[in-house]
Amino acid sequence: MRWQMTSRPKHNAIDFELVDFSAVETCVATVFQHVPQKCWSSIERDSVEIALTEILNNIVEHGGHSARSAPVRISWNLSAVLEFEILDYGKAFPADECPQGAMPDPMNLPEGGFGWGLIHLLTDDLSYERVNQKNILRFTFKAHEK
Amino acid sequence: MDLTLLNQNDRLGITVEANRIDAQAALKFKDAVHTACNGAHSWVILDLSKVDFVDSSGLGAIVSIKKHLGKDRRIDLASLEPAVEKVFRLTRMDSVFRIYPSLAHAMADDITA
Repeated sequence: MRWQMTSRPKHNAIDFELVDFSAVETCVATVFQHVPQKCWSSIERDSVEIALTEILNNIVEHGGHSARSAPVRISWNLSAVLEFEILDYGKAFPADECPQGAMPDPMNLPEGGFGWGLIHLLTDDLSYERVNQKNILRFTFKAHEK
Repeated sequence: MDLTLLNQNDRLGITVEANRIDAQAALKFKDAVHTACNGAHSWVILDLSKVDFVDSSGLGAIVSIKKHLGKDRRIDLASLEPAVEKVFRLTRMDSVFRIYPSLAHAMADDITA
């Protein structure tokens, strides 16, 4: 994994080569090493770990070759909320819209389809933009448990 | 993936010896549990006390094991760590398993499977 950290006031970013699922754990752990530890007193750390993992898993699983050919950039900023931006070069979402994330019915014993449901439940202010072959996903975590 | 098995009459306790069941590990986890469950036990208890983190792929693998066991055998869960419990709760998949505080609690439960 190659990564670089750029640190400016109120803005941090790390580039990751997300070649397979094994890179996701390393990527999330690296972000956690750099996020100010003080934010965990008010923001649910598990929520951030689950949401980031699901988003990065989706990039590996559905982003295609173009997602693996250029680094994924994870940026964050701690203000009143913990803000994230994840930029990748993978395929666009269908209709250029972020999946709605309806949770499957547990009684049907679903083996998948939980990812976007979890992302929507765990994050606030989720938005998606497709710009110049890049996917840009932005979301925040507020200082309370959702 | 390493598992520790505890045989007790009709019950099989399976302790997962890994700290994550995620997209990377889901297939190996599923294969290992399928192999472990080939006996005559009617009730399998999956002990997740050593598992700190389950993502949606890991959750899907656990559901797939439940389906693999069929209607005549059941599978329940023990010892969910907070992040794991959260994934089960938010997806409402906690409604399709009994969840015990520990493997010992499940093994001592006097209900019939």
